[in-house]
Amino acid sequence: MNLNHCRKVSFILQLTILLFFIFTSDALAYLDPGTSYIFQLLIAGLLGILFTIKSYWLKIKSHIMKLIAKEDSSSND
Amino acid sequence: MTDKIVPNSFRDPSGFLFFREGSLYRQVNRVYKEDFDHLIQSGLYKKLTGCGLLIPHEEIQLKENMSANAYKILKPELIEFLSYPYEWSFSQLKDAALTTLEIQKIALEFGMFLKDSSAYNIQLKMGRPIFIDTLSFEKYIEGEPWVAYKQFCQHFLAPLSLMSLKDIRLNQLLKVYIDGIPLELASSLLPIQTFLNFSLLVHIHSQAKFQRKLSNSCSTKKPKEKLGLHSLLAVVDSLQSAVKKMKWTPKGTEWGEYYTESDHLRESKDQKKEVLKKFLNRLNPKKVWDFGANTGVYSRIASGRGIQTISFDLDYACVEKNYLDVVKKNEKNIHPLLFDLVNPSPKIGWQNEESLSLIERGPVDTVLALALIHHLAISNNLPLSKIANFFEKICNSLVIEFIPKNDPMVQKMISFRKDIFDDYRIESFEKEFSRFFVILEAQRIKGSERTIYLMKKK
Repeated sequence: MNLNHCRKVSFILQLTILLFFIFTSDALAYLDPGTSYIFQLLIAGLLGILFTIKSYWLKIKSHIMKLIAKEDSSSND
Repeated sequence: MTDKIVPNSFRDPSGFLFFREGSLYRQVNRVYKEDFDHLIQSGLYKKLTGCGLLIPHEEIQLKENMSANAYKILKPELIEFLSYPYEWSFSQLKDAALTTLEIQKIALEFGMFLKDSSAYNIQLKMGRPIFIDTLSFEKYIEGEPWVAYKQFCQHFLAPLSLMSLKDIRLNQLLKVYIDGIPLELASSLLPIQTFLNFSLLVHIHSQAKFQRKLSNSCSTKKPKEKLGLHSLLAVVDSLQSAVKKMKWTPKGTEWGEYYTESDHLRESKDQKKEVLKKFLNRLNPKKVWDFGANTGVYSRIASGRGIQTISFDLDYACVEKNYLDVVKKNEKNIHPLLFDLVNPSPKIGWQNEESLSLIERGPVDTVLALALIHHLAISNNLPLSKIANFFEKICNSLVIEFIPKNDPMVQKMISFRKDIFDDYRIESFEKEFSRFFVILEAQRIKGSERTIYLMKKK
């Protein structure tokens, strides 16, 4: 499975989750439509998950970069 | 002593701006006391002003005529020239959006958040965006969503995505919609493939659909569900990623490649620069407006001498290139803006008072109008008398180039149309401008029939 394929699969997953939120929202449609309050509640779950994954990925990436930099500097010594 | 309240400063009950004896002040109302104190005492104000993200102010005592409602009086640092989102290039709007989000993120670290995210809260100072509304910060209440989320999407995300993915000129919709482009409209205008762009699918298409869905609801109940800080940060981070990904490459417009393609101008450019330097030395202005500035070649003659220079052009690619140069070289005195001189930005908003027209933002010490007048007179059929009358309103001195009919550029302009411009002659030009200005000097550009004039208002 190449990277593009992975991206497509991940996108379809995201889309499915989002559409699930959007089209099952009728039960909550008692709100003042002038606010974006309820919409943020709906997207927050999905965005929260993505944000967590991103945060961990950035931490792992920075850890790996530090290790590589360490190895480079020790091999130069 | 009478105070003049700034006309667009009425929406927020937290305070307002007013002029007294020529100085600008901001009144903080008692109702905003708690939030204002938190802004200062939490260190958020110091952090944001230290990073150049928020306009600094000094607290002052005004004893006379203060209302009982006043908690504090602030004297904010002045912005040299007010500009509006529909006058910004793509990257200017993008940087303004990123500045707003950066402020929101920092504010959350200090237990506050932005209660509004209007693009009008950003101005360009020293070449970079800066937040000017000190009263836009509110204490963060755990569980509350970002109240300005939709406004951010309307003021920034919608115009940026339309400019980037549909047509660069769609930022002009901001002139029509003062509270940002309605998401339903943005959603209908964006290309269908943007439904495959996750950020736009969420923040524009889905939100627009959601609004439509709820438009028939009449309940005002607030939901019990809460939005945690992590989720709030996720929303802000998602918007930040969406904005960062927005791209527009300046190319293919009429004037973007002007200097790289026109040999005849390249030859005269150096001489024009020398003439301009000489005229600026003689005038010694503090502020200059350069109309038809293209990518700012001549504007930089002025800004390079420490003169605050506004570099106007109507070409999106030129203004974008000009601004990218400002950012790249960290230039402080030049401010590129998108501007159509024959249809300048109007006064918009409530009672037509929420923004200033160009004339109200003047007069400026000196206007540069190089290689411009033939566009006004011939492309736009503007009589020389009207042009002279306009310049008289906006400046105290003028460096202006007259390009006669036999110039290749003018010949090109009239080659496919009937020559109805009998009055477009150097004698008429001098006569009309002499009604308002004294011609101090005129210098012919070598190898052409072009003449640059130095004029001072009578």
